[in-house]
Amino acid sequence: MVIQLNTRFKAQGKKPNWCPGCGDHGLLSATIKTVEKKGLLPNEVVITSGIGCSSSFPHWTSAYGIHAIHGRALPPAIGVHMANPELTVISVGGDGDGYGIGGNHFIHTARRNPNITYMVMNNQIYGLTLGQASPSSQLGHITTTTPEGVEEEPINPIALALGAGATFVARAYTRDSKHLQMIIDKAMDHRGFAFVDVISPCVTFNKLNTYEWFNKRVYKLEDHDTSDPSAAFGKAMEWGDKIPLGIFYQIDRPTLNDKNPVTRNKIPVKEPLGFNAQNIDMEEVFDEFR
Amino acid sequence: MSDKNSKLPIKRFSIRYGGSAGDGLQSTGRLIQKYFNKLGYSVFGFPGTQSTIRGGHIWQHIEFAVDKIFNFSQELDLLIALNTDTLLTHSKDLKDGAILIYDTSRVKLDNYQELLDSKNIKLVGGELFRYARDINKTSTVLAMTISTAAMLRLLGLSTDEFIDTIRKRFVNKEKIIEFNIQAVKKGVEFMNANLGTVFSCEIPEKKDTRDIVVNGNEAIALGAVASGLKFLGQYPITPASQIMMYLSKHSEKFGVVVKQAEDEIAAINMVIGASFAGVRAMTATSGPGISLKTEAIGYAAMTETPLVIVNSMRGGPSTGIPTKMEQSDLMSSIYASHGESPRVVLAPKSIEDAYYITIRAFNLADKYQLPVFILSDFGLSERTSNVTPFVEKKIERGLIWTGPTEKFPVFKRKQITENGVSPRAFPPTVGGEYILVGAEHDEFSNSLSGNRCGLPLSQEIHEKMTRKRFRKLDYLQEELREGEFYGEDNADHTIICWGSTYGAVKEAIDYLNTNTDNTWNMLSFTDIHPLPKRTLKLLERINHPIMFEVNFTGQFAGLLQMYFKYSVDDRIMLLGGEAPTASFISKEAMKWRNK
Ligand SMILES: Cc1ncc(C[n+]2csc(CCOP(=O)(O)OP(=O)(O)O)c2C)c(N)n1
Ligand code: SF4
Ligand SMILES: [Mg+2]
Repeated sequence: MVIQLNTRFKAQGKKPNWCPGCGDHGLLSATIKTVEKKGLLPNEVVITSGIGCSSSFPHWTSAYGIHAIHGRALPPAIGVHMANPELTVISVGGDGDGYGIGGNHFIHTARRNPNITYMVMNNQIYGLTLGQASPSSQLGHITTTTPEGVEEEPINPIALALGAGATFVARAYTRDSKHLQMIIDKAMDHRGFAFVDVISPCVTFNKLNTYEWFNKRVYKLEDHDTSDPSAAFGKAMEWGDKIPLGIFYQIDRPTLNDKNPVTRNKIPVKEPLGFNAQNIDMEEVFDEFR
Repeated sequence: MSDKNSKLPIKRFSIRYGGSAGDGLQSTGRLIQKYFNKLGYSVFGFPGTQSTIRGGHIWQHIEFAVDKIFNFSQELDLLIALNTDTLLTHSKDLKDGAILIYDTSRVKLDNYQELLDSKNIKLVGGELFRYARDINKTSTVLAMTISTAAMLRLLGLSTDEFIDTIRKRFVNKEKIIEFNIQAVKKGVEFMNANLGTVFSCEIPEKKDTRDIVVNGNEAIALGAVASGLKFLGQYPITPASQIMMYLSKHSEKFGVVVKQAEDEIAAINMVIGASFAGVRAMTATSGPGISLKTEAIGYAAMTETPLVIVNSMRGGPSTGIPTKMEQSDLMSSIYASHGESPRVVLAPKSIEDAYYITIRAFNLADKYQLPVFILSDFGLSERTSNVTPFVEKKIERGLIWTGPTEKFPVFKRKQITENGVSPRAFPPTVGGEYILVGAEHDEFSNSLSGNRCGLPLSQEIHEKMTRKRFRKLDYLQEELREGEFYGEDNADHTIICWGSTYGAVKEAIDYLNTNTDNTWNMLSFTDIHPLPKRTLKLLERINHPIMFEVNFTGQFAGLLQMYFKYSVDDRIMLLGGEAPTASFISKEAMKWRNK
């Protein structure tokens, strides 16, 4: 019996259950197009996510996936990546998932620089739980939990990622699929932690930050030195009348697996199990205890 | 000095060092145990630690004997006091006629003089820290070496092997070795000027031993490597940190990726990812960490992801008593997480058992695709003893799908089978692509949340899948160890215990059978959950059960009641945070003697 090698990333017989017009459709199709263009095969790719509308993403692909618990898209991605560095690992999720409940993992994953692409479908709202404020909700936004408007300053994911040490930081917009595909392509080519804040409007619960609202504001970064951290931070602070899209920052730094004493030389999943199988002299190990 | 014939013969000897954090009690303690190991004695060490880096009061117990020691003794033959708190904490445990070596500048005897006199304690005072400073101005740790050498003189044991052990420990650090050699000399002189040699130690038959002196955490770490561990995700916490520290030190050599995570939640979720990718993976923590991992434990059970979780218990809720012992996280290990999630809980009874249970834990996790707890505690994780070198055991990875077979032509990650176990595929296996998902799912691991939730089909699937997940426990319990009796057959009284208290209870049973008119035995458990169904047969052999567990609510007794409607009315409880000893248990057990 032989299994047909699948080259198509789109899940067969399953359709995303996102609302018509939801930005997440845009990231899904742009991702599928990009990975297929890159010649990757579904069996070589693992997509991890947390919980939220956006986090159902892996189910609509034919790749391997981990639909983890809320906020925990990144830790399992690190586990996969270190157990088998040969796999391509992509993590996705929502703004609540990645900037709220999973914020700690976001910071520390950036700092670790694993060779993982992390794309956050930022709709500035909790979609799945019916429209509560999220960490990226706009100041004053009236939501189901903020009748007088959001009181807290929204998180700045670009500046946060820069500050945490991410080596690739970008923003894209699901309405501009070509640009989005270009950013995904570059993010996946990047050796290290590639973070993309993807503007992905929620048409059902966010009536403030709509496509119209963004269409008037977004522009593409040009003449921007992506190797200059001050320039990157400068552009990161821009949000309001003008919202920059593109790569804010990209540098080369050794990755998590480059530095780890095991993964720098070995692919753990391919190594034999136990002392003897690995040619480790147990007597020598025990000598420390004598 | 007295002549050889008048010396006190000894078979077993208990020593306690008390001092401040930073005095080097634990590190020197290990050296001394290695020394006794070398001479062929059985050794047992136990630390009394605080959450203190400098100062405070900490202690180190060391005991050696010709016969195997199963637990440290409450009563002391020798107390070495480097601060006054040592007397506050330990003088009550001195045996009649025991010896006290103390630092005259730091230890104030005043309040204890009466007690010491009443027990006829032999006092050996000296300026131990000054002697140390005379050798090396900046070192206080040498006071430990000086008092140890004094002790060896007292025991009439040679200091040569002790110096060898020091040389080995500080290889290439000539200065340190030199200082220690001087300290040994000083210690011997000091004792010669005082009591000289008082004892005559029985010489063990075992010579040139290959035994190793390890603690429970090291045994677990070694067991994990022998099992093929490739990924450890952990966040530091007493008393589990040593597992990560030991494996980090040898990470490259052992081929184990050690990731210190940002928190316990990240640690276990990394482990889930690693296990999904096909390696054997483990996380280790204590109660507070388990609380944080709770949601992910349920996820692992739901997604049928094999993983090993070391839960080394400390005491009390919240921060509790972080460097002390309690067996109060049994229920949380069995039930932590919402919904109903199958898992296995194994509680090792000794250091050897910690190693071999770890291997069993990995095999059970893989074969039955669920989380397996190794339930240790401070009393086991941090005790040291010499054990026969560990050997490797068979590794069983369970049902792994690498391509179509007659039985499994199409890969269904959650295929419903007779024993509930489904095939597992690792990326990049072609045809094995699936999504691991915590929402209820069908045989292909397609999520039922969202649009399919609540449809008649989904109701049926949730029931089938719940039964499938729990069916694994029915099959698995056949493989588990049942409780083990020790002591007199058909005894008047049976002490029931579980996990690390095994050694203390065993010594108590021996004591009770020799020193009371009643007959005693014990029934000890290591495989706690799921409790094998045949356990009831064992319980029916008991005349009068007495439950001993180191917790307030009687958690294991509760399980016996719940699963077998078996009631244990009489209990021995210990809540001070210190690990149990045979004398405590026998004293308490005797209260039930006439029942
Ligand atoms: C521990 C936990 N808390 C709360 C929830 C409920 N919950 C599910 S999704 C979600 C918010 C999702 O928001 P976001 O990540 O922005 O995703 P979106 O739906 O907007 O794409 C919440 C609070 C949960 N699943 N788990
Ligand atoms: S509720 Fe919003 S985020 Fe969720 S699917 Fe609909 S549009 Fe998308
Ligand atoms: Mg959102």
